[in-house]
Amino acid sequence: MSELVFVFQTLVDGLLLSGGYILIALGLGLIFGVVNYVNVAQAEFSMFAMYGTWVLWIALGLDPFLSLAIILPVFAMIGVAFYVSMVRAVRTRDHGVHILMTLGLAFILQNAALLIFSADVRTIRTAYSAASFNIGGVSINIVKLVAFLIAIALFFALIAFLNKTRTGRAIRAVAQDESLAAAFGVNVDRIFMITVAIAIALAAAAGTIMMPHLFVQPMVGQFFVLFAFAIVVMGGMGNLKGALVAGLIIGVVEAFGQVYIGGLAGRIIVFALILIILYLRPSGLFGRSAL
Amino acid sequence: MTAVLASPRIYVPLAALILFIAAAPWFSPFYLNMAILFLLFAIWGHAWNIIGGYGNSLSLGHAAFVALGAYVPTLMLRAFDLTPIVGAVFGMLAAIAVAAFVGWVTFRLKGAYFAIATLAIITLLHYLTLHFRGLTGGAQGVSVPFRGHDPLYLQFSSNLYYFYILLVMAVLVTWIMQRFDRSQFGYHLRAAGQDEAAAQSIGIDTRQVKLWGFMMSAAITAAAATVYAQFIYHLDPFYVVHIQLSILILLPAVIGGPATVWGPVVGAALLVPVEQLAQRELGGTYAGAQLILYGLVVILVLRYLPEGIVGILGRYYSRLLARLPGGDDIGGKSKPRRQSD
Amino acid sequence: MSDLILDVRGLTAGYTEEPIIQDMGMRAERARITGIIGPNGCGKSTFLKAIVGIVSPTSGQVMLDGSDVTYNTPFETLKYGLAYIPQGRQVFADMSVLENLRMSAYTLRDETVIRGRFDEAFTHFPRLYERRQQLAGTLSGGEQSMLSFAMAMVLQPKCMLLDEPSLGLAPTMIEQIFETIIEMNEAGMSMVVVEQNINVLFQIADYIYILDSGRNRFDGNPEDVLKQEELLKLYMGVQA
Repeated sequence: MSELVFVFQTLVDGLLLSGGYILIALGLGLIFGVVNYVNVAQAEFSMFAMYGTWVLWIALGLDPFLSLAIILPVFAMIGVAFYVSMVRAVRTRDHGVHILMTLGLAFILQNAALLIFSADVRTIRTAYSAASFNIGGVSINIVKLVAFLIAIALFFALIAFLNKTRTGRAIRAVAQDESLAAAFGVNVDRIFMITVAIAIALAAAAGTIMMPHLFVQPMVGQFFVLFAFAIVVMGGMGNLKGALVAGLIIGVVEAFGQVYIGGLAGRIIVFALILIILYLRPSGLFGRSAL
Repeated sequence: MTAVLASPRIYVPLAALILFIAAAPWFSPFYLNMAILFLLFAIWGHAWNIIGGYGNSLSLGHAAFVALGAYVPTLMLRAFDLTPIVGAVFGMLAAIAVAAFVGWVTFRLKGAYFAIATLAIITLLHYLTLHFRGLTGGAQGVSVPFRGHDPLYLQFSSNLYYFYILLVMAVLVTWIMQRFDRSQFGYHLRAAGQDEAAAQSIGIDTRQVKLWGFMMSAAITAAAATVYAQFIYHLDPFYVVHIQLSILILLPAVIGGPATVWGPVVGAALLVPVEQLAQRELGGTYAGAQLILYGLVVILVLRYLPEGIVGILGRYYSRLLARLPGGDDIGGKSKPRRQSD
Repeated sequence: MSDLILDVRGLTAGYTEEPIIQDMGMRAERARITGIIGPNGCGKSTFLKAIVGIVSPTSGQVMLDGSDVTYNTPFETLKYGLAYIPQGRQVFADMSVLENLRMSAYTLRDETVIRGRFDEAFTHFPRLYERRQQLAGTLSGGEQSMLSFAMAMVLQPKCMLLDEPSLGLAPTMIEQIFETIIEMNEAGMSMVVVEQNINVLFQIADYIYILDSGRNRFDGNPEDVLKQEELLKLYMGVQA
């Protein structure tokens, strides 16, 4: 019985921690699927959002979850600036060029964070940080649960936006056939800009919701983005629903590896999994479906 | 060889080389260190350029080959008292094996997959190094056992010896690259990198060619890494087995000029001194400021100079050569070749 | 008197040294079906693309119902009322039929207008109404053709340019598509149809142009064209 509870506890821990990674992977997948651009610096925006959330908490005492109301629009604007300066001109060039340019950007952002915030680890511990409740012996941390629920809510909001709104449909249309969409009057450049803005806002949301149970230092993004790439590869490039499922699976795999084998085994399994999937099913477990 | 020496194009590199050899004994420790790192990154840059430049396959995993070239001989030295001169062979074999595996998995796929797979392999190796503490020393890293001045174990009383060893390697690798650049293998790899479908249509097995290129690249990287390990004598997994080093390895070729013989050399000659000086001047208070500069340079070069610096430099150099006495008749023949776009 | 909906004069397009089409002209009358035929690679598709602005012409003039639309983008041309339905039934494959129509109505903002246009399209193509929730990529070739027709109709064009509507369709489907073309024409739509399948075209077209090597070769009523047996044999094989 207690063994079973332990298994469930590991399962729940793994699931709850996957929310942030899923949001980063969604942004990566969205930019890749619509704009055909590979952004390796995606999680550096999450890192800055974590610092932003931390500053709002330190300076104004703003609750980290409430600070989403500020973080999301601000990072959407940053996403627009990113599109104009880094994406637009090189969009049609090789993926290698995108990766190198965004690596350069990641270098800049990481070291800018180092200059501004130093290498010290920063955390937010709210009054309710340690609060948790119990279901049949499985303990569920409130902060992690809220973070996870926000991530899932943002996922469904994104899907609804893409399916139910005029702009969302135009984003999908551009992803499917750029020239046909343009023929019906869609301003493709504007759609790319909106897509990148949403993707960067999602990355920022990931940072903000992870801040209350994780920590930030200038290099966290490097690890986040690797995890997000693992999710994107497993879920299928540009497949958003695949990213959700793959994110949950990878969260659980890492948790079980860590608990049952110990140390860094969880991460080792996750990155070995990337190579195995690329070998067995390069289109991802769920195929590369369009948006 | 005599044909190469007859061409005026070689004069400037040759003069620089002779000056470099002659001046080395008078370098201060700081500049000797800088010169050693320049040679090292020029070699690594050449190696990366084979697959990343000519093969146009973006490797983010070259630190994995550095790690294997550094760790494998060092661990063998510790365990079996095996000289790194022999250990280097095992390091190279390990690197070739990993390259063969990654290449075999990904060269049938398109686009960003190779980059992601190489990213996965360096990350995997990083965590494996940390995880298997007993073998690798984990996060503490591992040291090369100190033997004093022992040339058979590549340990020397002065860093000048490492300088000369790496210099010989750098000249050798540059010469190999000069040959490679005009070889059938070089043409095939360039073709496979630029337009896979077109290359296949003229009968090139692009997957095979890239695989060989990647393995060659891995072997050279590992060989230089073995010398590097003896030079630094302590292997830190957060530097040697880390994605950051992968990026430092690819920068000289990308900025200097991908798929050119001199690109990685010019890139390393530019980047290493900038990095070292910036680190000395800004290091303590503004740690990381030099890397911001790096990031900016990468973005600007990719955006505005996709051929890299030698693309421009080469044109001026040819113009200069044409003005030299007897230069104009050769000027036409030795114009810089069109670089990949 | 003839009432021209589309008047194309001296259109040249392609590469500067070797134009794909050269000095081509066409006059399409209002509420009529104008056919264009010619051997493969004669520049038929490029001609249509140059008219709507997908390929920009180097010289010449395109007048649509009295307005000059020569150098407009495809979307601007569409706004003026010239709809182009490309080869190969271009639809958004991973969107439902209804979503495809919504995309074609992207520039219309008034929901009641949009509803009205959809109703109109669905009365023309009841089959599409039955399948409105189905993904366009899972429709049959003929249904996809209907969908691209319907998408063009939503914008109520003055004239439609069809690039080989029968290409790759089963014979029964071809019949259906041409019935639709006749129906729409009888409702007053002006049409320009490029076809390889000349047998059908001769039955429905009011006037026919023959192109060859990027130039006009002959034009006339179907009866006149049919008298040009040499031409037909030369360019169309022995179909005629």
